[in-house]
Amino acid sequence: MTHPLLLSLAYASCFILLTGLLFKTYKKRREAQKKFENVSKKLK
Amino acid sequence: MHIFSALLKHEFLLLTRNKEIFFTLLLFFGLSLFLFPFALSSDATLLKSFGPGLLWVITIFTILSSVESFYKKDNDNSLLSFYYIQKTPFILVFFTKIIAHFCLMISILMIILPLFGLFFGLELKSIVILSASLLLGTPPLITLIHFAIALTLSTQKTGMLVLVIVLPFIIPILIFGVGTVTFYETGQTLKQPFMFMAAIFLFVFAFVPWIAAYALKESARQ
Amino acid sequence: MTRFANPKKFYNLSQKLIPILGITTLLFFAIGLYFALFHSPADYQQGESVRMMYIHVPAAWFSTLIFVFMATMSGVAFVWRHPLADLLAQEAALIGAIYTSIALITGSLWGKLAWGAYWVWDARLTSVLILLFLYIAYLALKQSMQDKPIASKMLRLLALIGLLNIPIIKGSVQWWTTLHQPPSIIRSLGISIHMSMLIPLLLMAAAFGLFFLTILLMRTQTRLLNIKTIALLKKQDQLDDPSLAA
Repeated sequence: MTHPLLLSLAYASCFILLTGLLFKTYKKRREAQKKFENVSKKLK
Repeated sequence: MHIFSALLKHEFLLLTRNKEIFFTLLLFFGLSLFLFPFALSSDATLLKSFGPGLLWVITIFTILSSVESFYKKDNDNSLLSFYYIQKTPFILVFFTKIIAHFCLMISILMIILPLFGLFFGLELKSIVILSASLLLGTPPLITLIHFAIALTLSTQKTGMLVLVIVLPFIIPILIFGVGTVTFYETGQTLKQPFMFMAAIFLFVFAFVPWIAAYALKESARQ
Repeated sequence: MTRFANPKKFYNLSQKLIPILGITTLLFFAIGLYFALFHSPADYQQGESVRMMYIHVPAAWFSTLIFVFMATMSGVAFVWRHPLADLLAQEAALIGAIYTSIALITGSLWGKLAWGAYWVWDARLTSVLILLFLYIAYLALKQSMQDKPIASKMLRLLALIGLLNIPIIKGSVQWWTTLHQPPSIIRSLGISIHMSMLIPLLLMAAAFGLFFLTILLMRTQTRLLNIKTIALLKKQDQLDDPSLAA
């Protein structure tokens, strides 16, 4: 394979992994916040 | 000292009462070694160069497959919780288990090694060096594997988890253990790999048993 | 340090920090990528493939650094019994595993350019692979324990012993590869590296570090929120059932 192809493959896989991690973390945080708000509302 | 001998007696009693373990492991060890010449080749030089590595890997798997039997009985009888209530020092419990396991492995290896030398065409001197490296390598190996199982004792499924946890820790031992024989076969001085193995031996025994005993204690507390 | 050790204060502080950190991370990635891809010279030996370095090397640096961080936090948790340190250590693990995977993937692609094969048992790559196994072991133990109170105790021990193990792995793998002597083309980064390459490298390293901090704070916040939610639910149960409160 040629240089540009392998290079872009490396950069692409790197940033796919990073954004995947960011997305998953963001989603989990959002869910936790929603759940917390629901529960604390009920308690009041 | 009294507690230690009592605990040791208990472990050996379990071993002698359950002779099945010994024969199962012996059979597992022998048969898996026996398969490799068919899988690789019967070429004498190839067998000679692959042999020690195979023996080391199978030793690791034999230890891994037998480690659970040292805790299963205790778990069933909740013996560990009993030790905890009795304030038995867990470092002694841990050491007796290691010693018992070491004796089990040595007795298996003593039967396997001559046969291994015969079928894989290793000279007597190579076998002696291999035995020395095993003698130096199996105690830290067993300690690390028992440490891994002490960590996972509070979970239900231990088997695969122990292998995953212990893998990064046993690679150095495997490298130097097999390296001793490679060094001998290529005519290099044996001092270096044996020094490394001794260093690993001391290093493992300086830290791991205490940490493992703590882990055992914490799981027994539950 | 102890000021922020209070979980509530930590939560509020990270609430403020996360947007700032996130924007700075983005900025650093943008500038770093511009430098790495367009504004840095090709290597006289390796040509354009040297651009692999700007993601491989920061990822490899942080893969070890994050484990050191985890072990330090575990040590803090062990000595001072602080629950926040446990959370930080545990939440750093997945990020560390991802960085290690990035280092491995880019290293293997770089290897294809340098050696003509995706995998060579080179000392550096092999020890990164073993480090990945260490992360996997930690994550597997964490997964199997769920959220039992004993989990954090066991995870601390694994992180501490794992840290002791890292130099042994590096040393033994080094020894093992010199035994078989494969070529080593990913050269060691000495001080001799040229400024025009050092700037993008440091920019990317800063971006990776900031990204780690951002994600770590977000994940730790999530854990703290979950703990609070569970505490609230317990309180609710007690209110519903007076016999439990007594």
